[in-house]
Amino acid sequence: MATTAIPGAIPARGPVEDNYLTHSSGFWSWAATLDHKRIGVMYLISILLMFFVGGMAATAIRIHLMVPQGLLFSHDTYNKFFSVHGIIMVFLVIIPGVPAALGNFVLPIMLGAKDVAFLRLNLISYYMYVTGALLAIYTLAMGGVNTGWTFYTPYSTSSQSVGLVSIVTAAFILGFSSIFTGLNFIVTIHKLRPPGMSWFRLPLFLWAVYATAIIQVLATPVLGITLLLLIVEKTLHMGIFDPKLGGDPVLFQHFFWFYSHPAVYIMILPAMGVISEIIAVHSRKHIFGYKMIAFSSIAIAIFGFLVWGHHMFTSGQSQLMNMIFSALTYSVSIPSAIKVFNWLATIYRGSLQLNTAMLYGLGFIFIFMIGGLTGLFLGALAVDVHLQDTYFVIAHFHYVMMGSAILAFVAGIHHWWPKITGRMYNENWGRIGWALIFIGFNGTFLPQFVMGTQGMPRRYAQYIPMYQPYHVASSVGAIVMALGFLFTAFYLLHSLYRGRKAPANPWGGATLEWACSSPPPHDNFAFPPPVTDPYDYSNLVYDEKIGGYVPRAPQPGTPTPAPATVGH
Amino acid sequence: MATVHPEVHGDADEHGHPPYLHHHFETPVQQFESDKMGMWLFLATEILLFGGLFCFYSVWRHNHPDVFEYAHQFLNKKFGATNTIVLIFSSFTMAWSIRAIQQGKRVLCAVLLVLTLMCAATFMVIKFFEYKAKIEHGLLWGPRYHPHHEGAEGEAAAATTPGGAVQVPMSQPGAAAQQAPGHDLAAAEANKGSVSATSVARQPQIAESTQEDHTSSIPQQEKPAAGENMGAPPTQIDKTTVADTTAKAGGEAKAGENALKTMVKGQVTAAGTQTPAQPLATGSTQLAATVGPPGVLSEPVPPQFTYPSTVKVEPSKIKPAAIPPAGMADGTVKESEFGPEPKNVQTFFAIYFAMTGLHGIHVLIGMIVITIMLVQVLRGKYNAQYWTPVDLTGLYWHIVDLIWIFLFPLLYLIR
Repeated sequence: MATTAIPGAIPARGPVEDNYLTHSSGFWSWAATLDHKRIGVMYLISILLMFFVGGMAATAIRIHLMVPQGLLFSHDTYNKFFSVHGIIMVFLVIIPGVPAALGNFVLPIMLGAKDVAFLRLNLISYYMYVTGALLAIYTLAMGGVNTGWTFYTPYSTSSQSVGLVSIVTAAFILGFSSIFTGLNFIVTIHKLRPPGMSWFRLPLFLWAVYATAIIQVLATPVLGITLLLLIVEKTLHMGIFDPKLGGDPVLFQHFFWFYSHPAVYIMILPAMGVISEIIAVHSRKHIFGYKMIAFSSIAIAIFGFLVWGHHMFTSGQSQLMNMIFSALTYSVSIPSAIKVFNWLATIYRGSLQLNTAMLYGLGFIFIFMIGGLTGLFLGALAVDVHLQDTYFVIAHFHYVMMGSAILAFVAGIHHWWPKITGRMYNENWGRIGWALIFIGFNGTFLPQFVMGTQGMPRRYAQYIPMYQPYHVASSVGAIVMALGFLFTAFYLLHSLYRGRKAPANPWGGATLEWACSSPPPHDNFAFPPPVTDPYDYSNLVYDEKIGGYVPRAPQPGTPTPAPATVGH
Repeated sequence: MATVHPEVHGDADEHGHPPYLHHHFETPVQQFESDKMGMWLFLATEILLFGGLFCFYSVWRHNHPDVFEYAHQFLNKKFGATNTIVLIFSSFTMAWSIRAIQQGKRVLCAVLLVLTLMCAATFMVIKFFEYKAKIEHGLLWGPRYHPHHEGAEGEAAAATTPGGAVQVPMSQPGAAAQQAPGHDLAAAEANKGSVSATSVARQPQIAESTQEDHTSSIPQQEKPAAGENMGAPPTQIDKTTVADTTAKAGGEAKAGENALKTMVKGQVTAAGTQTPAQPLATGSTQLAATVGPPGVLSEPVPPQFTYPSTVKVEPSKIKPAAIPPAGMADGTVKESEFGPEPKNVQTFFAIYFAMTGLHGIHVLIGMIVITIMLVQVLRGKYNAQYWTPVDLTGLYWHIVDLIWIFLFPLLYLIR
């Protein structure tokens, strides 16, 4: 199927169907696999299952808030629901989402490598993820926690909820899973690049994953020790964070946000990488400002370490600290804006293919701009005092973490779905699903900005009736969005059975994964593939017969300047 | 590590690759460099993991230098120094063993690995005795901090502490934490003099170990008082503990406050005169005398308490901008043979146990890994061509060693 003439790609080493999915079979061929693609697929399935659980919790919260007195839960149950939603979405869905699932699958192929550097470590980090997920579900079954995902002391140390130790242990294990994934990716990108794959020929997704991996390696250990100390505090009453025992609860906040603010960039950077790929490929145009996008990823990673204090403007920091952190916070917006401008410049005069992945990509730019710009409000000291702990904050970080990071994850799933599964989904269904999610998302969170500015506090199980119209709008939006996700799950699963077989290069991407067959063979490449500009689409033409792009020149190595007539 | 791996080893498989080369690497050099970089990155995460603890240490040391200067005296410098030497020596044997395997000297490498293991074991044994001594003297963290140093009551208290300390319920935070010998007496006498018949009935028992359950409920009032001194609002905890105390003493709510007042007075006197540790009976008499008759003590506690000018206490190093939570309030009010005891000494031991405990776990993990290396070396898995795992184990072992080299002066050699 769709054998291309790219040297280095081994579309078939025998029967056509020999790919990573059919290379071997049986339970252990998956459970004990060292193949990065299978590990990536297992990550993808696990993460989507957890996304379903977290999404159900979110929908239940929104339904509960349709009436001022609350519709569904007691107050404590409500607390547990939003805690479960936060913990699952942050630690089990968004943080591992793009890097561990899509990154694991795509990174070595994009790089032209056979696999990641440490095969067993990769599998170990997957099983650490599974362990963490099971512990989280166990906690959920045993009654949950009501601390929120931040585990702030002294509330968490004095909280009566029984599940705190197990959920914090889960987060600790997940943290190390994340560290090992990041470590693996850094070494892979440094050491496993084939000849010709210089740093500036790396696809931008890899730059983004690389920047993410640096954060994962450098920030997550601090979360590790923080959670470890929290466990010790809770079980042995160590007196480190608990003021009753002489500890300092604000120190916990410092430690926590020293990780968790960079963690925001662990979530958004790989999402930006996905978008850089999608925008370029589906605009059929060379990415604008390659180096600026690449360096802005690194800049975001560096700046991300310096701004954690902006979560603590109202926690009793000195005014000087607040001012420094506020100023540094603004500095992060510069590399973020550089990316947005470059994407817009890429789209400008491109030949846009408005398929599902591209719609998610365009939606990302829109949503991320709102999410990013409202972040500036919260970075401003005086405004933040008013908006702290209101729905404005909720709306802001959902625009960034949900509307940007998760929708970019979904965009990536659509973009690489043919590569991962070897099947094409129905584009029109995809567009409908995107429209439902996009409209539902904005319907959910735009009203929350308004509520927040009017003073509706976050995490309240009840509210005064003046906020009800906004809450109802928000809840209706959430339900529309939930239906959109269910529909998306339906047509993606449908495509596995009914979808037409995917060509090697359905979108016309120039990065190396599109040079492999769909799905890729077990070893990716028999020998290191020739590396060209990852955003030069001039040598690819659309072939009606196979429904995908094929190289124009018989010898793709020859530098024939081709007219830019591609684009369908 | 300038040793060059040969491109092709004798036992080549069908690809012409040496047997230790994984299929996704092109050359042994690439594999070696990847492994080494991965290990360095892992070590970076290790440093950051400990970095959180070092950061915690720095913040506390900066805010409460008196706690560190006081509490570090309880650490055994000889044990610490011995352990430092042992670990540095083990790093030397580890490095030498890597050199040996690089030169193909398997027996020498195995011997050196055994030496390294023995050093590690020595370290852990010494650590065990250190911990044992700390536990016996009640020098523990949080509510389990219940020191009893040398002196008249030392042995009796030492015998009862492990059980007693563990039973302190969390509803009485810091109950045991704020104890010191002289202070026990002050509290006991104050309570006896002012409050209740119960304590009078117990008077004969004061000199015995059973005083603990009686006194431990009183001094927690001192914490609220100190919190008010620092300008922090009284917390809910304060109220509950005061009430709790009162209930235990069998008196009225007001009587609890009286006891508090009395206690503070007694302590200040003790500290102000720099009274050295005294035998039990003498101390109690003296302190009881300073307390005065019960009738004087009926006035409520003044919220703005300041130390008399006679008290030779280092003023708090806390800047006004960073008002600490009530429990963190600082001030020297207690006395032991090691000098006036500042508040929240238990936090030093929390740091001590957290840092050395995490380090000890790393030593144990290192011992396991070195054992695996030893077995593999004896099996002949490593040779002059392929010794990467031994090398990486050495890197890990050096970082464990290095962390101890920082821990030793930071914890043992303060001043």
